[in-house]
Amino acid sequence: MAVIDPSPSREELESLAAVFKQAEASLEKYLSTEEGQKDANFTKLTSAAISLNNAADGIAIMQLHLAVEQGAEALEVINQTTADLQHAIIVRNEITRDLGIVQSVVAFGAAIAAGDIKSVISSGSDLYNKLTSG
Amino acid sequence: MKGARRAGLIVVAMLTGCGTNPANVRTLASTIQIVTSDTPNVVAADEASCRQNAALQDEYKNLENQTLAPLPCEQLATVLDSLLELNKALQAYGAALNSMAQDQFVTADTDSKTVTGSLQMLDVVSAPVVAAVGSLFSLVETAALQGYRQHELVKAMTGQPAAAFKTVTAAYVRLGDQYAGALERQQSNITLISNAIVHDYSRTEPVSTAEMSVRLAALHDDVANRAAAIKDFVAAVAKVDPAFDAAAQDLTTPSPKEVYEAVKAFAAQVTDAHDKLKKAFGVP
Repeated sequence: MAVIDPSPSREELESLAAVFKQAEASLEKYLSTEEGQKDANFTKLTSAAISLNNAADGIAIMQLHLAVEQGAEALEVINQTTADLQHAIIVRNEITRDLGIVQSVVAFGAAIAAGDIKSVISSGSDLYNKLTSG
Repeated sequence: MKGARRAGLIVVAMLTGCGTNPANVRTLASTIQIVTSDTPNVVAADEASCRQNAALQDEYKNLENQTLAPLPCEQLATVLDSLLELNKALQAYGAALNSMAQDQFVTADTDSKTVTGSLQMLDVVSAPVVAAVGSLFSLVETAALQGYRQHELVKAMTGQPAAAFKTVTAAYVRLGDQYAGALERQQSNITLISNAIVHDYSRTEPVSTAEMSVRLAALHDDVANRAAAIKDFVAAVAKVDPAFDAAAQDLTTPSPKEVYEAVKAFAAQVTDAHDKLKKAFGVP
């Protein structure tokens, strides 16, 4: 017994949309001809063409729905990557701070070696500030 | 423990190498931010178009006493809400990528000058030693910061994150296609309704028919302008994946000219589409 798949694939939806588009275009073309203008069913055919367009809109929305659903599955990875990047930015700022400490240590060490009290105090307080900040 | 881990990170960063210019990542990230800032406007316009189309069809149904297949505006609104959630995630990703790729934290030259300045002022070591300390400091700082940045960017732009990024951008391409198609069909509906009104009422109500034809022609032109802008948006968004790959590849195997050209072309196309969208949709 044949089984009907109630959820069409992206390709099936694309084929269906193409059929609707082609039928609507043919109908619209026919209605613009002299023969079409005289057709006793002109208004009904016009309504049918609009309905075909509306059905095609429905298919396009189903296709969008499928793509968004797949996107939602990828959302967790994107959010995790963003969180990792944000953490990495914090770490980078810490590295910058650590390098600033190295810079202050060099200055402090040099000041001690030179025996310059003023420089020892100024570079020492700079080092202290860097060590205690953040 | 934390300090040791950080020191380890610095060493890893130095070992993984440095010197890669993440300018392409910055351009890509800024462009992602433009696309994600445009998306809510596109979504709002898409919903508004559906309602406008439905209102026109109601007018037609009343005038011609017809029944039509319903327009799925409610379903569209639901899908678009979900898409805006994806947009928020991509917006945050673009912002984080951009921030990580910034150069503002890499200030090796200035910092090494401060170090050498301190040593020179104190006059305790010879000039060659001062220069050597400065160079070494600059090297360590550059390697640590640039290397770490590159390492983190590679992690964020390859493997699973890259696949996830492309899955999400596929939804953007689909949004563009859906909206462009809806606008095309809306134009077709306007033509069909206009012709039907002329066909059925031009003899009995010539003035009203003429007025309605003018109104529908203006609406048709407006929809056509929007459709043209959306086509440009679709074309630009379709190039986001190749630009992403190019920028990510540049982080591991630098090929500056090709990557620069690819990312630059993508950015220019997105900026152009962004300007056209603003004009077509009257966004300030």
